Amino acid sequence: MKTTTIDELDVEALNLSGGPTVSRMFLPETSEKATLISGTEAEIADRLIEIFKELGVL
Amino acid sequence: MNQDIFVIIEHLRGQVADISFVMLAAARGLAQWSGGKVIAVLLGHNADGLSGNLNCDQVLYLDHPLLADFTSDAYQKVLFGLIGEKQPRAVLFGHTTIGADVASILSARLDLPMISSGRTFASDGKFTCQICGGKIMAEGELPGSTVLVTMVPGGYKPEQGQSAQNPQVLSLPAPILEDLKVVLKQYIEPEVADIDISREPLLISVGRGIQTQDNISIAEELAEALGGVVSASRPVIDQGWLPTSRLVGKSGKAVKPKVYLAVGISGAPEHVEAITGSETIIAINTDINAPIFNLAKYGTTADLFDLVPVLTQKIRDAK
Ligand SMILES: Cc1cc2nc3c(=O)[nH]c(=O)nc-3n(C[C@H](O)[C@H](O)[C@H](O)COP(=O)(O)OP(=O)(O)OC[C@H]3O[C@@H](n4cnc5c(N)ncnc54)[C@H](O)[C@@H]3O)c2cc1C
Repeated sequence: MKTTTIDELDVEALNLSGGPTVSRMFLPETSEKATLISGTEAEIADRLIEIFKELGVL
Repeated sequence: MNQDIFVIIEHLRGQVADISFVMLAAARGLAQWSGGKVIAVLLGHNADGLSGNLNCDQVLYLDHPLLADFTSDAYQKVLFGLIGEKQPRAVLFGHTTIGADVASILSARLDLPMISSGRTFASDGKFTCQICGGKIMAEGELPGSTVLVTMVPGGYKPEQGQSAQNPQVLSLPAPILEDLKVVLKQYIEPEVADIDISREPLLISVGRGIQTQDNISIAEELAEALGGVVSASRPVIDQGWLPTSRLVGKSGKAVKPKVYLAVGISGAPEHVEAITGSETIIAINTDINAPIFNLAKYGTTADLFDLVPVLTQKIRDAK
């Protein structure tokens, strides 16, 4: 048997003063840094292989 | 309250962590707005040599044998006194195991506001921070009092927080550290199992996007063709699809490969903190808004199941 009681508080009862204020929420700006590779799978794969070669891992 | 920005320097086994340099870079912009100085706070024992390349106006150095290694208890005691006395405009901590631990307790004990997962500060002092593991950003105003901020990587490059000039170091007496509840007795290096991913130059890292254990073979085949090693984010390890030794992140290993190929990994802060030392990060993720793209140098939104087998085959053909 459940015996726990749940107390309800008004938000006003909590002191929220002194904290940061949020003025805006947004999705992260895409690709601040990443250079996006697009095309067909084969084209993307070719570009990735070029990059691997440029970086000396292939 | 003064207008200085304190940066709590994180270091482990004689090395300053990259997040410390990221924070120093962030602090520089914030100090320009507040009109104060950038002060690096270094806690340690015989560790003043670590201050060498910190890009700051001054280092406050507190030395004590019990500060040789991090314990939450000792750090709290020292920083409680220091922040309470100096009342800087802001105190930056890493959003790391260490920083999140100490900052949250100090926020409660000093009754100071705290911003979690801070990323950047604008020239008007506005902050941005990550919420929901980086899937949403929030922008806001710093509160008027001293504020504690835990900072995630990605907003600044570690090099921006480094300097060739030695900063001025001011040694402060550490408080008496007695009655500590936790004392570090021994540092135990994690066992290196099959492979030490922290030393591998090429990591093909798989995340939840890989969906099933059977699909791990897609990454293994690519790794084999490229001559790399497969590592993973936590959900993959938690499922038991790869051994714990392959875990990249806060609960696993920090890695610094030449190339880190993140396949179906979103880029949560606990993962990202361990890959910032990579020379080049490449991300394959169908979600253009995934935070990993903020860190990656190259990226594609192709479906990993379509792209990776084609890539593997082309690499094999080219050999
Ligand atoms: C105290 C603590 C410690 C933690 N320690 C770690 C740690 O050490 N390491 C760690 O990694 N995490 C750690 N975490 C967990 C962390 O918060 C994230 O939950 C985790 O990193 C998410 O892993 P993921 O990116 O693989 O999964 P998700 O966040 O679910 O991302 C999966 C990604 O795959 C993409 N995707 C899906 N399907 C495809 C497809 N077909 N092709 C291409 N892309 C696709 C999706 O777009 C998504 O971005 C920790 C959390 C806590 C609280």
